Amino acid sequence: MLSPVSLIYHSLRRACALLLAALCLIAACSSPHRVSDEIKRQNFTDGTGRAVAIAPNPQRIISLAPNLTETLFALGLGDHIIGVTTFCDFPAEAQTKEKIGDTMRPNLERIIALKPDLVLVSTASQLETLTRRLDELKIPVYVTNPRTIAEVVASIRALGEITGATARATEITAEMERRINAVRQRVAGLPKPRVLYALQNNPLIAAGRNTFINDLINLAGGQSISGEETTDYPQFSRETVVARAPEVIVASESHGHVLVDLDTLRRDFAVTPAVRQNRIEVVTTDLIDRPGPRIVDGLEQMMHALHPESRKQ
Amino acid sequence: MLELREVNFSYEREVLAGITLEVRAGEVVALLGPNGAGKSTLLGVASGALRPQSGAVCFEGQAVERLSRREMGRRMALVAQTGEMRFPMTALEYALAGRFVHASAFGFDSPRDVEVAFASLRATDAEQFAARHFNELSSGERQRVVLARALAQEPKLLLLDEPTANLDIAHQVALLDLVRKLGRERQLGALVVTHEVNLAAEFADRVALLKSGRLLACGATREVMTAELLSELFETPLLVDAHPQSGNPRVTFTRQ
Amino acid sequence: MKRAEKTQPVMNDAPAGSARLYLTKRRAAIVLAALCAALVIAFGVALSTGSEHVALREIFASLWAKLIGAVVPLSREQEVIVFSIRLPRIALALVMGAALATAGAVFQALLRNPLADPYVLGVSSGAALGSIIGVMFFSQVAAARPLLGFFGAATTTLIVYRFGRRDSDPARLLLAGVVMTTFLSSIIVLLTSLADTLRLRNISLWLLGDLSSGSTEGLAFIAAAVLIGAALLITQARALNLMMIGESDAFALGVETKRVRTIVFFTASLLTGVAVSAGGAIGYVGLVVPHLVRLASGADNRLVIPASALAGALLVMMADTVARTVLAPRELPTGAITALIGAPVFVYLLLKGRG
Repeated sequence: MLSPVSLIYHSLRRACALLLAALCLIAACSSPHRVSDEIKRQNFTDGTGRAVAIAPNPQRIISLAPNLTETLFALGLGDHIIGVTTFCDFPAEAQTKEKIGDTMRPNLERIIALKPDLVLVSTASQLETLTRRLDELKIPVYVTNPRTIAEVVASIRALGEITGATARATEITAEMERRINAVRQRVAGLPKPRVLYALQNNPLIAAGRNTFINDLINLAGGQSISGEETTDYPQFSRETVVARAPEVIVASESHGHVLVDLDTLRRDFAVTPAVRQNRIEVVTTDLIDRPGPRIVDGLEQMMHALHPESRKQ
Repeated sequence: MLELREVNFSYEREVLAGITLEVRAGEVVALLGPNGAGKSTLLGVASGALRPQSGAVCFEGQAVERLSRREMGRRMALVAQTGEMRFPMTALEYALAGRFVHASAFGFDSPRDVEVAFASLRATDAEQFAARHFNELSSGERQRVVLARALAQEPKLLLLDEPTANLDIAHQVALLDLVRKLGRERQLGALVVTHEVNLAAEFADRVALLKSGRLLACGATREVMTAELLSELFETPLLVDAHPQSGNPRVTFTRQ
Repeated sequence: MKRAEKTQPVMNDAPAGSARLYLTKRRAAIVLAALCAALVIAFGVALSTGSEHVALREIFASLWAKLIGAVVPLSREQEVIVFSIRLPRIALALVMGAALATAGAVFQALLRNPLADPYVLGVSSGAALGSIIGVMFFSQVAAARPLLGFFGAATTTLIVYRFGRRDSDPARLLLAGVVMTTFLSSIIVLLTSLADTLRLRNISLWLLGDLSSGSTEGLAFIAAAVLIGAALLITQARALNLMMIGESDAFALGVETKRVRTIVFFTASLLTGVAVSAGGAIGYVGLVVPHLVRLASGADNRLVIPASALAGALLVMMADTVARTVLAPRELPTGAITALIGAPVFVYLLLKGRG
């Protein structure tokens, strides 16, 4: 028969053991990234100059922008994507992925719950707070920030590097550069038309110097009449549009729906050469606005818009 | 001139019951009573602002509810406590407001309007304020301008609600003196609600005692202002003797 | 003219502005004439100023040419710039400024609250919301926007007035107005962020005002509405003078207060609704302009209402000129300029009033 003292002693020991086991269990469950900590992480510098430590060949990638989703799929990493935004619609498989919110306000809790080993952010989304929070939680966040077509190509290459898909990245970027050069050659020597890109009418919003549109227009052999503006998307004066007499007006469409009322555009700028010669062109917003692999499609589309003669090929 | 006949007025509860009152041309009628007796309500009914549930309110034989606001304004003028004026307005402009009832809806004040307004200010000893802003005046001075405004309407009847409330004694006497003088000269009638029982005694031709919405008594000053009736009205023992100069009733409180 | 010798000498002879006794025809005429003159000069400045330079001389020559049917001495681009872009915009600014300032002046008089204005009372937000709903759901019907703008304005006025008005507590009305403004503004933001077609549409259009739409079809209708509305309000000017003293006072002084209140509220809401549906909610005009007019020439509404209309037109036209030239070729929202001017002026007026 056990004495009361030893009974107490045994129960206490058992309780402690259980408690310890429970604690270990909790510890193990609450910090899964500690597991990957054992694997050596590599240091990279992202598009904004931040130092990011990423383990090689990340298997659980979350993309917080449509262009990044497209790039990942192009790099053959579609299976590694565990979360995308509601705007990620290309390619079609992207729509089957788990949604973690839109580009402006992704759900932080969802991101954490999915336990990613890499989160990709585009600065266009302006998610500095989110980036900081993920940093604090030791989740690797890689921010891309391409401002020109050339930088888009570079960022695709960089994404290939951090995900281990360097071979595919080289293939894609080489093809992109070939097509860009083809465009360059095609428009070399052609007269550069003055272009108005109207993001919106009422009020009139144009594209400034540091935007993709501007880069695309320049590469496609055109000259944006709002290309000197330091603001990215300034509300632009109609008087100046009329005075600068654009020869082509470009608007964009999304899924067949033109984002600007063309009739109003024609009425407002009836005196410009663009309207008089019926040179209002429409490009696809997803192609010209997303700094991903399809930007060269956008470039070619812009070239066709600005130089109709280039269409016959 | 003004006649209330069996007027009953309720607002969630009964405020006035069975009021029969008359104000004739040229006479001053004082309305006395404790707080909550319904004095201001009675004035409201008399001026047409409040519609009684039953009974008749007539002015020179015409039912008051049939008259337009303009017609009412030409017949009777109200002098009541006025609130804060948040806009800059000179005393003359304030007095000129009384001319609205005689003028076209739009249009500027005629020379006659200005004359009458000035005369009214003069009558109430407020002419020196004509160019000053209403807000800058003391409450007593404002009161005089309000009376001037009423006089500018050139009414036949004045309804006054505590007109002496903010005045010093000299101006209290002057105001009621003026009202009585206008009564004699222009046959102006006046119904005055006041707490100043002694002033009422001096200046009123007739007095009406209102208690809890009912008329306790109504008649000539000397007949109605007795110690009995007044003590009953105010529910406090009062002493009534005769003013040494005029012989009118003089009311004093006692401490029994 | 018969006048007793004893009367004060300072009467009709009082020069405009000084020793202000009461409103004479002469003083009213002088003030309004001065404002008209200023308006004409400012109009000239606005027409000749913009992000593209066109010489004033040439503009006047073209104006004359247009009138007499001669050839206009401007290039085709310049002609479009001045007459198709600038002129309609200036006209819109004039009409909006007049509408908002007049509405503000009568709201302040009617509610006996110098701090009332269509913006603060939430009426502008109601008009903006109505207009947005018109654009979102009834874009085919051209009249939907101003009509729904008016309904939005009228409904908001009624609600704010019902819940906010207590003669004894003027702050309550302002509070009701502020609550309405923030509530409606958040609905506007919600709608514009949910609706795909409007996602790109600038929210600042509605909440800060934007005159760049340049559509001339609606302009005639809006101008007519504002003219009729302002004229109607001027007829109520004298009654409003009395209502400024107090509603029961006005009643005793012969004003049909209920009728005046209905007409004034209805018309002021119409003015606000129409203005906001055309160019967004430009703030501070209705608040500050009537104040400045009263400061300069007294509170008599027979002068304040028409003077506010002219001064409001002047202010918005000038603010718009600044908005489209100071950072040319970029444009700023006009409402931002009126706020930049109006807010400090308002603070100054508040401080001055306290002393």
